[in-house]
Amino acid sequence: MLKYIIKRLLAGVLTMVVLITVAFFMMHAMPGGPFSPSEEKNVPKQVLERIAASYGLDQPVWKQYLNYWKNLLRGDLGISYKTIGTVNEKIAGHFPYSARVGGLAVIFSLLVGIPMGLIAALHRGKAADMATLALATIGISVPVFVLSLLLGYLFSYKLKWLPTYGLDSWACYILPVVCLSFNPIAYIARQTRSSMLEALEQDYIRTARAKGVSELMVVAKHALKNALTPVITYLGPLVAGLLTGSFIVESRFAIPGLGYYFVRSISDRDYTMIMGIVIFFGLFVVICNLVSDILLAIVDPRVKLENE
Amino acid sequence: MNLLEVKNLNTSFHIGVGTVHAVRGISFHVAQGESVGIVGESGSGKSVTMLSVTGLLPDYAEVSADTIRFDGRELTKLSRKEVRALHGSEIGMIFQDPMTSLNPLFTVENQLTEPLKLHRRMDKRAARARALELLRQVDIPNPEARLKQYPHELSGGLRQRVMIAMAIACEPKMIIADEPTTALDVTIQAQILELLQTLKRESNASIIMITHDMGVIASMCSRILVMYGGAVCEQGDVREIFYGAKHPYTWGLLNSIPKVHQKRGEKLVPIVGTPPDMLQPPAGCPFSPRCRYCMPVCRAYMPPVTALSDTHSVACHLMHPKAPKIGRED
Repeated sequence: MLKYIIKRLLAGVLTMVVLITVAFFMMHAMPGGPFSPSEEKNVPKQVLERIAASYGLDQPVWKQYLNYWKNLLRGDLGISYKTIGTVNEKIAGHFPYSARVGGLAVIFSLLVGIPMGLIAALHRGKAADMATLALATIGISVPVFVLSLLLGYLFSYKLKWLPTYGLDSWACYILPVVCLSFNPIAYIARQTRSSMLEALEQDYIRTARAKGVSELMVVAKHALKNALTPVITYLGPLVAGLLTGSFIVESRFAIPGLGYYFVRSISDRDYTMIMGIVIFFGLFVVICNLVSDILLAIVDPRVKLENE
Repeated sequence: MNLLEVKNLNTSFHIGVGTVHAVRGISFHVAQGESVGIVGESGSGKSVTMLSVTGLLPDYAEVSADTIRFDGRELTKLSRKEVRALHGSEIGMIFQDPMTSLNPLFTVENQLTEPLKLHRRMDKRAARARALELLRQVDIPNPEARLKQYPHELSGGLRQRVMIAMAIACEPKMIIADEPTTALDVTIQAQILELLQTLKRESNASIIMITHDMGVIASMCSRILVMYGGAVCEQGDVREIFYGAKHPYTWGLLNSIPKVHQKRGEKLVPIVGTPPDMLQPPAGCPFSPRCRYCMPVCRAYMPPVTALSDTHSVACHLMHPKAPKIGRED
């Protein structure tokens, strides 16, 4: 197990090197820069050049790349070009907002999606199943920006039940969490339904019944554990995706999270900020995937972590 | 006394395109301590018969019977919960494919102790002790280590031994073995059969052996039911079936057994044709389309059951006094 984790972490490091390199050069390939005249119209050209030079932006790109690595290896992500403070501080300051909303969305998705899929599978072909399938189809096909506007219009503007923006009270969390969870709920419900139906057809379910196991335990023990393995696989990308924040949901509900700042930093050409968040997201995805793989191996003993 | 008595069992499945009549009016009995073989080709209704008797079919199956009497209780009148209490305690079941019949995500111990905890209310330690005893009884070496393992860590033969241990865990009165050796290779088959025979000698349980292998029947059972097209076409004790079979289908089954003295290059004798479509079962004898001795009456009417002795009966129009006298040809 430990050997496997180390192996995976080393592979993760390689992934990060590739990610950083590709992101760095792609970022520099974008037209314009943080202090280009097209960005800052009212500042004289010479001043902009001086600012750029003080950040080392006048050097050739490969040199900047090496410098970036030098600082990165010391754990220094640099200072933000467009906002006040270091990138490290920015991430530490904004990530908690994204993580809180995203974490709640993960829990909500699982708490709603799994039971929904289960009920649908156990009432196959009946009204509950149809309703779940319809909802799941809507959940997968409605984009989050449409949903967030619709829900905001209905619950904040028309009914005035929920606040429109901010994170000041628990009520503020409801709309963003629901918007973030909508798609995952649809996915989890569909996945749980189909894998549950598959599990219930298996021979070992018949064996369990032949042992006199009650219907509840057949479902809750023998079938559910098997049905949840695909959901566990999905958990890694889900947690990584939701905790790092969504630009659409965060900008719509004015949540000062990382997802929002990530997109803003790109349009600002805030190089250090872009790189910092890319690295942070990358690490997050690598670790979440590793954790969900380990979790899967714990649940399903047939999954071999080490390949002999 | 009969441990199991089934009269006029009918099972059908309602599926999209129509109704599959899998079992059509079967009656049979199993005496205390007796082993009965049910033989027939795939789709003849052997497994469905036993799943109907034990109430293990899915909800879309429709089961009706005049009686299903087990150990003095009328199963058709029991609630689901009462029937479930019999599963694993008084009726043990062994299924065909040990590769898929055990839950891959639970240890042998977990699965083996489940019926003990359920029916015998054993605590963890007592159930574990009994599980070890059971593994020894089914000749699994190193049982302590095996308990902690998962099904995928065991070979097919070992898994089937675990299945058997599970079936006999609560010392059932009746064991139903549904093709217990079909999925195993030949040497393992022999070992499992030997184990079943030993268990049979040691306990007074009745065994119902479902198989399409006449050899397995000959070595295990005292009485045979031959099924075709969802109905029993002939039944009798082993001697009567092997040496005095009267139904052309039984002849076909017996002729298809490879012979020890068979010459190299000599072909096996198949039964020509395919089993009937149970969505539209033939009006007459289900075997008539494949029968070499088919008469016009065979296609029109189900043959009546003719009793030849206390144990031997056959459902064939050839038994009619006016029918041509035809014997088994080799």
